[in-house]
Amino acid sequence: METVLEVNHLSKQFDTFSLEDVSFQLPKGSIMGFVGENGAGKTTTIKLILNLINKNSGQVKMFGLDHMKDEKQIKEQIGVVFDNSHFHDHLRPDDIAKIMRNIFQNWDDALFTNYLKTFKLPLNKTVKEYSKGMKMKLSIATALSHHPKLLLLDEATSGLDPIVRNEILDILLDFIQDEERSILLSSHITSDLEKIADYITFIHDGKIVFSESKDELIYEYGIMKCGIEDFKKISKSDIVGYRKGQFGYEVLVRDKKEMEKKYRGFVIDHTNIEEIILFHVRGEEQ
Amino acid sequence: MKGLLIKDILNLRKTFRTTLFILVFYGLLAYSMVDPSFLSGMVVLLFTMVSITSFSYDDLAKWDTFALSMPVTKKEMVVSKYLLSILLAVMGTLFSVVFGALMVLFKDTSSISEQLLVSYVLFGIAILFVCIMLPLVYKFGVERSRVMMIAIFAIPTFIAFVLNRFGVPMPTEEQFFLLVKLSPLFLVLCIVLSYLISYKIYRNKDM
Repeated sequence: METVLEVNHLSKQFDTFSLEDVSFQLPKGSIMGFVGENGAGKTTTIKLILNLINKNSGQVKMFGLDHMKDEKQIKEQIGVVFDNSHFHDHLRPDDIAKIMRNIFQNWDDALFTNYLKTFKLPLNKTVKEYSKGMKMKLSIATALSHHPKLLLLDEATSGLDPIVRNEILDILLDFIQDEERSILLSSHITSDLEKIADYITFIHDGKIVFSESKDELIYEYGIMKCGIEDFKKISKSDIVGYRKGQFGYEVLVRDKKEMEKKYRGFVIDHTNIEEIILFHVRGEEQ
Repeated sequence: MKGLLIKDILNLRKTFRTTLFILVFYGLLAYSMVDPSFLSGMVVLLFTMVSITSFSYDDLAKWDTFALSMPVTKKEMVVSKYLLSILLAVMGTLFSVVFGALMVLFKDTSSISEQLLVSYVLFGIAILFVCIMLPLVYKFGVERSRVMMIAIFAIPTFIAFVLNRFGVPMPTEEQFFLLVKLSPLFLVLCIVLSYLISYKIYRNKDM
């Protein structure tokens, strides 16, 4: 499998926060959901990938090129969307086209106009007059209009209503249809990632907890429900995290098939990405 | 690079309109005065200040982070601001030349060559101002450097005061023209030095 984005042992120390040994690979033609709480290090990682922040150590490769040495060549081929619109208030879509035409070699005016039409964005209004959802769609339209091979989106869907969010997810799914293009999408809205991501990379407190295929995660993890007596029988090493409820314990376990054999008579339910993440964080707090 | 300049010019459309409006207003005011030469100085200054405005627009939009995620280098970001500032200083100077010509025509105060010299000196001052201002903006941000700007304006007055105090005589006409002849080289040196400082500050910045 060809990888589009390769992050190896990336580290960065700040005064109050540090990103430690972050590694993951994004295979070509897929969507990776990059998930974690606010302040877990998602934006920092994306900024490090883009060389907007100076790293302390580690390597980043996109399309097999080094992110510092071949920076310009890489950036011609990627589209980036941040959580807020970065366009000046007084610009209109045609102004943005005028600027981008002179920044990207591959800028495609016709494609941009086409996206504006598809996203129903008014041409005669300034960015200031756009709603939050419209601004986000404008940013995405801009990011898509130079035929990028890789999209990096940082919290692009956060703060938007479910309808606009769904529209954006559809756009993204459409984008990877040709299996040549890929997306790294950071978000804390796990349901969005569950819908479109092929891979989930979970970052917590500046460290990668896991980076795996979504289907495997859902297949592998399970929630075991039991009373206090049974809970005591479970070996500590099998517990990823647990939650104590009114009627007993819910325990997140890995390797569902193995656990079913080991703990006969226990009920192990299916789980989802949100639960896996919640239990991981809680498990650590115990 | 071209894209960055276009971005600034598009953003400054409104500011240009306001600046022109102010100029027309003061132009009318100047017409009614005996010595309207202050206008030449003001026009150069007004235009040069516009480049600082472009920094605040960029700050407001958090443009730099986004721009650098595109095929734009930090070097190009800094160079584009210097180009913009020089371009604006040139525009201001052209306006001051026009004013000078109008003054000679209507007020008959001085000769056109004298006015051209005044405009050139003003241009030099504007460039020096840019050379001091931009590194400050890169280091301290627009808001804090606005305050420092007032201090910068006070420096030449202060130097003149000190020189006068210690009995350094005003340059003779000959010395003055020698200074004017040497000034292009001096200005280019200032720009290069200032750019290098700005770039060094900007290069190490985390976005």
